[in-house]
Amino acid sequence: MKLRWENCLVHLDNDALAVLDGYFRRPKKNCLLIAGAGFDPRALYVGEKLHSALGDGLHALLIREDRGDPSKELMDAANANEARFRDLISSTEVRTIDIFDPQDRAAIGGRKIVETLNQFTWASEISDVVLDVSALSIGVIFPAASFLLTKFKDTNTNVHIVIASNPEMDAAIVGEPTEKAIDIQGFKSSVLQGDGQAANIWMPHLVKESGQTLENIFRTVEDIYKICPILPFPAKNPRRADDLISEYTSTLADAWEIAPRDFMYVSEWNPLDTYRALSTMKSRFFKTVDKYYKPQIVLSPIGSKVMAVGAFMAAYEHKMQVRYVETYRYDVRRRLSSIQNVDNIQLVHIWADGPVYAGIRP
Amino acid sequence: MSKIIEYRIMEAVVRDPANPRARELAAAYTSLKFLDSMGRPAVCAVRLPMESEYREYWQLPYDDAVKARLGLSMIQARTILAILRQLTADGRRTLSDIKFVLRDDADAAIESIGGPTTEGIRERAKEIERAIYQLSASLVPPTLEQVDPLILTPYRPFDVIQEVTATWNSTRTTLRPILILDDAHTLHPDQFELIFRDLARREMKIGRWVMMRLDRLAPKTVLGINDINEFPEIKPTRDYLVIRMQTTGPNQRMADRRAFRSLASDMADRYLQLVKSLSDRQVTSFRILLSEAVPTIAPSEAQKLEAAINKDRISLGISHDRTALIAGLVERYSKASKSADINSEVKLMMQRVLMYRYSKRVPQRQFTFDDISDPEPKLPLRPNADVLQAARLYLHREYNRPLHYGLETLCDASQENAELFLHLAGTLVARAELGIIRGSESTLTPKQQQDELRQRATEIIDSWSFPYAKKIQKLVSEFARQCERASDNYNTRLGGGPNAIGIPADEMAAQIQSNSETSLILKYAYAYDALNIVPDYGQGGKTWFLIELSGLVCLRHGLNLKRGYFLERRMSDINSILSEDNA
Repeated sequence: MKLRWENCLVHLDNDALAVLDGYFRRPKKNCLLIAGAGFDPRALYVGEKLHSALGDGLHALLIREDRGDPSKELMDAANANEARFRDLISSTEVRTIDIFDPQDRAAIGGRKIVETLNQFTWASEISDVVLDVSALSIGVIFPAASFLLTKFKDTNTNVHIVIASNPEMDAAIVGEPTEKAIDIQGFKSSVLQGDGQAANIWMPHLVKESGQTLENIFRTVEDIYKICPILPFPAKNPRRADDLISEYTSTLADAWEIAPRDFMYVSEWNPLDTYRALSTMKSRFFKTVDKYYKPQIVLSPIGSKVMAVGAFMAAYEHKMQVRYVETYRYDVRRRLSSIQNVDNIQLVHIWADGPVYAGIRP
Repeated sequence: MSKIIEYRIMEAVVRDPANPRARELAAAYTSLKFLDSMGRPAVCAVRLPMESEYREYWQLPYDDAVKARLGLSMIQARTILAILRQLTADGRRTLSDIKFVLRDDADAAIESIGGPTTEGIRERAKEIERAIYQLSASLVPPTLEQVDPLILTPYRPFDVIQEVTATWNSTRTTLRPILILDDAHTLHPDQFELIFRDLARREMKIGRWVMMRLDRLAPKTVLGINDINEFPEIKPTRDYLVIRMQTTGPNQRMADRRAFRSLASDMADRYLQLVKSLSDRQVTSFRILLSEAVPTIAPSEAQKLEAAINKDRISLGISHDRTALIAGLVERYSKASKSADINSEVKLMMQRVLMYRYSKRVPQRQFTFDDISDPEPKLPLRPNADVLQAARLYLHREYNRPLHYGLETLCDASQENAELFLHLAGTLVARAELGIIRGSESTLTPKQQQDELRQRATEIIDSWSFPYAKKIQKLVSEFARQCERASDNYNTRLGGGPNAIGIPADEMAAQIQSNSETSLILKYAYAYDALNIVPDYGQGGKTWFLIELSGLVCLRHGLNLKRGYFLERRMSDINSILSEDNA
C-alpha cells in the first residue's frame, strides 16, 4: 500500500533556508506562523527568516506553555522572546496554555492546544500555515500538527512543519520529568479490553541521561511483545548510538532483554527516515501477528525533535500509540546567554500537506 | 500486590498443589477466605489500572455528572470484560460455562446491561467501551448532541450483578466479583470524589478496592494534622474502610519495623534463588551475604585516634586520673553491653565523647598543667547506648568505619517499603555476584555494603521525578546538612546524631491548613518516602511535628537510622529553604 508521505518534500539546512527565503517570497503569500514563545533561544529563528521573506504577509499565533513554576531567568527570557516577536510581526496573537491542571497537576497540554486551535479565528485567505516546533514540547506538537493536517485536509492551504534543531542547546536544556507516563492527546491505544489479547511493540527513542523517563514509560506499557529502541544513526557524532547503548547497557540487557537485532537505526537529520522505518516496521509486524493478537506499536519520541516529527508522521498515518512523560519544568545547565548562538542550527522543512500533492497522495 | 489475587493467578496457584510455593500462597488465600471449603476460588478479582485515559474524561467539555458517568460506565464495562477474560484465560472454560447471577427484581436494569445472558452482557460491555473510547480518543470532542446515544443511556451492571458462577472441573463454583481500581490517585480530585461516592454505596454486591498513593488526598489528611472525613455523607468503617500502607504513630512504627524485618528477610531469600550464579553455589540465604563482622579501622588510623584523644585531654584540661576513670567506665559498660561491635576503637571514641561531656559538666577553668585540679562533674558521666551510637557515628565520619551494614540496617533504611528494600538489596546482590564471577568471596564486608548502599541511595535520590522533586531534594539535603552540623561537636547530647527536624505542632498545623505550596511539598515528600512524619510528638512540655529524614537520605549523608533525636526549628526555616532564592 502506498504511504501518505512516500513522496514528501523535505528540505534540510541550506535547502530549507532557500525555501523560507524563496518560496515564501512569492506574491500573494499569506502565511500564519504557529510557534512557541517560550524561553528557548530558537523560538525566533524561523519567525525572523519568514518575516524577511513575507513582511506584512506574515501573521503569528504564539503559544506559551505554562508549567506553573518557572525560574525567573527562564520567565524573563520567555517575556523577551514574546516582546521581540511582537516587535517583529505586527499581527501577532499570543495564547497561554496550561500544561498542567493547577488543581491536581495532571498533564492537560494536549487537550488545551487543541482547544486553543479550535477556538482560534482562522482567516479564510491563509495560503500557508507553518508550524514551527523548535520551541514547543512533544505533548503540544503532536496534537497541534494533527489538528492542522485534519483541518486543512483537501483545502488549498499548505501545511509546513519546520524544526530549528541544535544538539548543543538541547543538551543544555534539562527537563524535570513527571512520574506518570501518559498517551499524547489523539494518539491513544486503539486496542481495547474487549478486542482480545494485545501484542505491543514499544519503540522508545534512546536519549542521553533519560533513564528515569524511559523507566517511567516502560512501567506503564502492558502486553509488551518486543522492545525495539530507536537510535540516531547516521548522526553528527557517529559514536552517538554506541554511547547510548553503552549508557543503557544494563537496562537494555537485563530489564528490557534486547537482542542486538532489535535496534532500529534512523537518521538524526531526516525525519522521513524515521517515518519510513516505522511504516515498514508496522506493515511487517501487523502482517505477522494480526491473526493471533491485536498488534500495536507504541512510540516514545522523547529525544530529537527531527526524529520526533518523523515519529509523528508515522503515528498520524498508522494510528500508533504515543506514550511519553511530560516535563514539570525546564532548567538550563549554563546561563541562557551562553547558548544563544544560532550559528549551529540545523534547519529542517517538511511540506506536510497542500495542493502540491494533488493527485499523488493516497 | 493486587495482581496476586487476580483470578487467573489464583486459579493457577490452586491447580498446582505439588509446588511448595503455590501451597504457601494457597494457604494465604484460604486464610483470607478467598478459597471455599473445597479449595476452589470463591472470589473473582480483577484489576483495572486507572490510566491517564480515565483522568482525561474530566477534560471533556461536559457537565461534571456526565463526565463522572463516563468514568463509571467505562469502569463497569471493563470490569465485566476483565472478569470474562480472567475466567477464560487458561482455556479451561468458554463463555457458555460462565453465568452472571443477577437480581430478580431489576428487569429494566438487566435490559440496559445487555440482557440476562453472558453473551449479551459481554457484547453490551464491548459496545460501551468502544463508544466511550472513541469519545476520549477524538482530537476535538463532539458536543453532547453528537455523541453516540448509547453513552448517555444508563449502564450500571454493578447494581444488578450479585455473583458469577463458573465451571470448575466437573462441578460449578460460585464466585464473588472483586474490582480493584489501581492507581486511583490519577483521577481528578472532583472526579475521584464522585466515583468514590458512587462505588461506596452499600447495595452493591461486587467488592470494590480503591488503591492509590497518598497524593490524591489533601495535605491535611495526608500529614495527619486533622483526621477529617474527606467525604462528609459517607462514613469510614460504615461505608468504607481505610487501610494505610504508611504508618505514622511511634508505637505502631516499632511493631511495623519488627514485622518488616522478618518479611524482608524471607523476600530476599526468595529473590536470591532466582540469581543463578548464587543459587548454583548454594547461596540461599541473603543474610549470609551480608557480613556483620565487627568493622575495624586501619592501625594507622587507630594510632591517630589515640593521639587525638591525648591532644583533647590536654586541651580540655582533663587529668590523667580522670581520663583513666572515664576509660574504666567505658570498659565496664562494654563488658555489660550486649552490643557485639564494641572493640578497642569504639571504646576509645566513647571515651572521647565522655571527655567532652565531662568538660561541659565542670566549671570553666583556666588552662593548667596542674594534674591535681580534677573537679567532679555536675552530673555523673554515664556511658550508655547514646554514647555508643555517637562513637559509631564519629568513627564513621572521621575514620571511615562503616555505619550502615547488615540485614537489619538494610531493613530499617527501607522503611517498611518492600520495593525500596528490593532496590537496595538488589545492588548488594549484584555486588556479591560480581565477587563470585571474579573468583573472590561472595560475602560482602561491612565497608562494601556501606559503599554500595550509599551509592545506590544517591542514585535513587538523584532520580526522584515526582512533583516538586527538585525542591524536596533541596529540602532534605539542607535538613541533612543541619543534622550533620548539629553533631559536629563530640559533646553533642543528641546520641548518635539527629536525623529529624521538629516544628511546633501548632505552627505546622496552621501552615498545612493554609494549603500552601509548602504543605504540598511536604505532602509529596511524605507520600514518596523522602520524609517521614510524626504529627504529635510530645517532648519538653511541647507538642512537635517531627519531620524525619528517610532511610535513603540517612544512607546518603551518613546519618544514624535510629529514630528519636531532632533539631528544633520553626516553620519560617523551612519556608526560607524553599524560597526561590534558595531553591
